[in-house]
Amino acid sequence: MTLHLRMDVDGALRQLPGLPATVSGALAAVRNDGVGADRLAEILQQDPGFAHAVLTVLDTPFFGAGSGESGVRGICRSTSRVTLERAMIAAAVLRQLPGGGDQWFDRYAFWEHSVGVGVIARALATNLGQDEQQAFTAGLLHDLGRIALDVYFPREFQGVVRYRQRHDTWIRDAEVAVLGFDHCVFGGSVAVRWGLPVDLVEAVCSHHTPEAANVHHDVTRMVHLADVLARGLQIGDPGDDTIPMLSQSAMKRLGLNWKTLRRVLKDVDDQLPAGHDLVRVAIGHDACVSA
Amino acid sequence: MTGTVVYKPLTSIAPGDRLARDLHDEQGGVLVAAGTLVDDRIRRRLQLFAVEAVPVEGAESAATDQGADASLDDALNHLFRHWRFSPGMNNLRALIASHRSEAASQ
Repeated sequence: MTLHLRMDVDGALRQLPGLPATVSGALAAVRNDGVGADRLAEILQQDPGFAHAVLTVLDTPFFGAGSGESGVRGICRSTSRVTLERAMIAAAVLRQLPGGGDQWFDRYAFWEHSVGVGVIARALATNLGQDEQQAFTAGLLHDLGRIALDVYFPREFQGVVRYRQRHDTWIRDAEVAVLGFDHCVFGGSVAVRWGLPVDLVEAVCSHHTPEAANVHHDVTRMVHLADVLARGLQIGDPGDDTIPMLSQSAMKRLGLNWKTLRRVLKDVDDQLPAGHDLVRVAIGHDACVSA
Repeated sequence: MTGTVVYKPLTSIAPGDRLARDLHDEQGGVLVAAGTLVDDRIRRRLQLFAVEAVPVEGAESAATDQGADASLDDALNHLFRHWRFSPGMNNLRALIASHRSEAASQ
């Protein structure tokens, strides 16, 4: 018998906690040009755990590691606001939706997949001369809806996983069958609720249907391609063991061909270890602390 | 067939290369059957269907290499089990297979 656990997205969102006030405050401050670097550092240091997580993210090659600065004040002075904001968002979500979890969904492997998508999306952005940090962050957070379902609605999400195993479907189809909506719809709503920028909202919402993006088409297309490629390379575990249909239209609109993708994948191999390190430090560390 | 499958770009096909598995069109019909020698005529036909790389039978190699190739082939068969008849997904599979095979041999 199939377990149907229909949920209402708005109702689910009402049960979803917001980001901690210290994190929301820091994000508001970094977006406000009237807040100086030193004041921003003070605000960030009100939550030492979050400040440490932001420094960890910034200390990866994906956010320009090696600036030479150390400490929150120095970093706030020397790093661009855009970079700081992206790193804060990545750190905030990694802390909000950490590892650990249950026997039916491996969150560590989930984050390994997510960071793999970020690394590939970033390599695509490099090749296309687009915003690398935007692509990495969007890739990292693309399955926000799925991990949020597992963390905040474990009973319902367990029903999804069981349905997928029983019917050998793509997990997105299982989500729709069991819950009545998929992780893209839910993730997009979570991203809006947490005040994430519209480009990330669109990538989260439309990474399986890149033609549906309204404004930020290219980053959504890059994340779509990166997700498909990461699944093919079997980086981590997104929650199922199949490959969604690749949008060749997305490939063409980005001006990519198979030869270019072959080259991009070679670059990815060199960057993946840094991605795995980020997961180990950000997720492994949190899992140990909460254990 | 030796059991070893190598994905080659159509442009790199050499005389004597033989298809390792059936290639299908959008409707699921067999476009070119496994075992067919990929000559110029076959290569032109595949180009018309936008096929960029094909699985060909590899030369006999060490048993470990064969085992690794077979294992990769099994993994990809499983991953792509819902997309056997899509040329686009076949091209994607060829790209992934070629990349993973190269990475494993380094």
